[in-house]
Amino acid sequence: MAKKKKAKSLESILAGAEKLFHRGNYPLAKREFEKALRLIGPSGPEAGRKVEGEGLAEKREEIATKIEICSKEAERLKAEDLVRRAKKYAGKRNLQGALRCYEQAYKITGEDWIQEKMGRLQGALRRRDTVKSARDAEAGGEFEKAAALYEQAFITQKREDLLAKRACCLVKAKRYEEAISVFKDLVVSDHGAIYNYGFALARVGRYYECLKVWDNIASQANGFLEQKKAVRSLLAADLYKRFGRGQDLARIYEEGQYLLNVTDRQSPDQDIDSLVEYCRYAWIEELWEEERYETIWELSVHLPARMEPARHRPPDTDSGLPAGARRPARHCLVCRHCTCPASVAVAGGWQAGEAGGPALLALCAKTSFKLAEISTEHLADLSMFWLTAVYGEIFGRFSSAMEESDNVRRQLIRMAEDLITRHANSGDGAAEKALTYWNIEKKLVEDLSALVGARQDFAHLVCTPRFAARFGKSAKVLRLIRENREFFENTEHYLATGSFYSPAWQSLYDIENGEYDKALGGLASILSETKDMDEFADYSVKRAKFAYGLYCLEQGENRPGRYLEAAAGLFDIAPRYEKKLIEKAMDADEPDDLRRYEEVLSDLHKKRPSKPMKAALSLVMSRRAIEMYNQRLINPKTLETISRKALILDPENELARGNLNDVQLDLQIQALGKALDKHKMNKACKIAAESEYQEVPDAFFEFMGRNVETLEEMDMEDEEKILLLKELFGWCARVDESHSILYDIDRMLRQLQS
Amino acid sequence: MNPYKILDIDYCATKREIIQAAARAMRERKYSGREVAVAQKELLNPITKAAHDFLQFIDVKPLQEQLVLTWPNDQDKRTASEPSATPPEADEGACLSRLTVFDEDS
Repeated sequence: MAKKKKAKSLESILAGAEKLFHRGNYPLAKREFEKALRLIGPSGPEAGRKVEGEGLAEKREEIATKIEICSKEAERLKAEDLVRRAKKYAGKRNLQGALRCYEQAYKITGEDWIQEKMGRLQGALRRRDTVKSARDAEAGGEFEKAAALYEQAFITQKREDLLAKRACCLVKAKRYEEAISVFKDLVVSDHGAIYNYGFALARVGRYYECLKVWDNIASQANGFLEQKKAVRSLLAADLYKRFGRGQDLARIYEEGQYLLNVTDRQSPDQDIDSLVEYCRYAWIEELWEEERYETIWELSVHLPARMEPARHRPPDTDSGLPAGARRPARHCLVCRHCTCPASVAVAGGWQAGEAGGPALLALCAKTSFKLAEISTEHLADLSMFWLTAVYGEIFGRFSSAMEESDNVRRQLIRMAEDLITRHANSGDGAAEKALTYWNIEKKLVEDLSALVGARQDFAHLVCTPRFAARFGKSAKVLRLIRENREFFENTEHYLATGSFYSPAWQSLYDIENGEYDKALGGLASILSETKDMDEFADYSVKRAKFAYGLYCLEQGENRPGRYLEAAAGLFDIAPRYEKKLIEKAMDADEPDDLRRYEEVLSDLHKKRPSKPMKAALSLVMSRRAIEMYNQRLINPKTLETISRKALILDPENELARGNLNDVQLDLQIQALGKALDKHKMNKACKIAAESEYQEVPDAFFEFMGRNVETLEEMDMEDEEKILLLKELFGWCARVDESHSILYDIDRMLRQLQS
Repeated sequence: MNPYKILDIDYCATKREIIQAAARAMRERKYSGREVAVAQKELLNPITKAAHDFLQFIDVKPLQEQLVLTWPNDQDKRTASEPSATPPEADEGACLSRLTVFDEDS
């Protein structure tokens, strides 16, 4: 039989309840409190029981309060649990579940924030419905409705992709302007949106913008490529239309240039080259007024290089030519397509088809001048274009009077030269280089101008070497120079001029600019590509090697002779370089420098024993020998040998002669002293008697004089003195029979003998 | 220095107009008296004036007049100096149909 469970006492129930209450276990605490309340309730088993320390009614009230607290706390915990679950649902995008939990929690707590949460969830659920509706509408072909729904969804969700969808729907609904206004503020990346944007632009006539937008689509889909081509045609037609209305020529140029860059040039329906060129010039004119020279430069500086024959229009007429003669085929300097005679007229003396028509050349020259006024960046360009423009063609326009034209040309040259010099004087390296270029080019262009003279058919060849090289005229200039060799003052003038127009021109500029390493390196690479070493290339090599060798000499580098071994050939052509080397040698004063110059001059002398070379070598040898002698690096004998060699090279070398005299005198004095010291009187007498230097007998007689004086004072027998004096007399008489010492000795002898 | 800009005249200005412009420029004091004087001197001297005429002005018309423009759908070639009286209207964009090839992407 089961044992009957003993009923808990009120105190133990309350104690348990309190324990649970304090632990926060409110549901269980509530149950225990309710159990206790039932015990002491009016109908409870302990209703009549007296509770210790307080009345039963108070106890009931206290328990009821606790029960109430427990109820509230349990509700709060339940609400918290619901909120947690709601958040979990929201995280899993289960908005309905989250909303249900928040609703239950709100019923419990009635808190405002839960209500706000519920509102937001309800809004999101509605929006989800809107996007779905929009998609459904779009799928059903209701594009306007879909656009409106996407807009509605965007208002609440602020997602750009919804705007892009809206814009695409607007395009599909053919509301292009609206679509563009939406697209223009968006950054679209998917091909669908990009295509639709471009399509909308095309449909409202904004073809250039359409093509620029479509450039972001790499698709090779045939339909798309065809449509792009169609839009390009529309743009080309539109450019003409706008051009006809005289609208913004700068924009027409920009759009036309774009079209030219992307269009198949063979396509016959895209013939807008001339239109683009026309607008370019119109824009340049506007830019000139606005003094925007940098932009003009970018627009014009490449033009001459682009002037190559493309399409030709046969000449309309041969008027002005002798009967039966036809104008030779020439290409328009301006449009690149035609051979219009007018272009030849515009070109003046310029041969059509040549790089750089006069008008464009003048434009480049003027623009580079304007830019050079502002900065040093375009000084080198100024030199290249200005001299070519001024000498080649321009001055002829100013006046029919030749003298006045020359004056204007000189004035223009002076203006540019002053500008370059002003920059160079400020110490700017680029300007100094530009000034060097200017000086080279001025001389060359002057020469070419004089060579061409009044022959207008060659006037287009009067240009700077850089211009010639850049625009493919070098070969023609070289031919002109070759065919007119007699014009030049001498071979060097001819070769120096020609070499600047040869493939080696850059190295020659580098030499003039003191960039010898660069010059030699550049020359080596040019020569490696050249099959035939012509006279100009040969001259250039010699010039470059000589310049580099001289540079090495000045820098004290070893073995400069390897660069100067070909200099003899250069000196044959241009004696001024020999003079230059000699001048440098004359300026040297350090023994090492003198040694290097002596070595170089000695090698060159073997190949080219010219008089100046002999004189220079002789002088450098003499100077070096003295320096070495003074530093006791050589003895007098060596000095004498060198001096003799120097005098053989150049008998007029006074320094060597002086050296030789001095060293010979020293040597005889030394030999005399040595002979006297060893009492080799016969030898001493011979040296003194035969010497061409007075100093030698003088030294001999000085020695004899001292001996006579000493003898006079010596304590010696007279016979002995007489004997010695007679010996001295004899030696002196052998050297000079009329020397005064002989009278002195004779007087002493008489005194002693008397 | 652009003497034409300083004196605010064009290259056709006569000597009398140059002198008048110099007086006006002096009064306006936009440029220094020296600049105005030099500008006047440069333009009164035929050599320096000719040099400035070259430097300060460009004329693109000779370049433009040589261009042969070919109007679309109208293979007539005309020089820019004799443009078509009524340039042919371009085909409007209406001839374009929207492609669906990219619709999957959007």
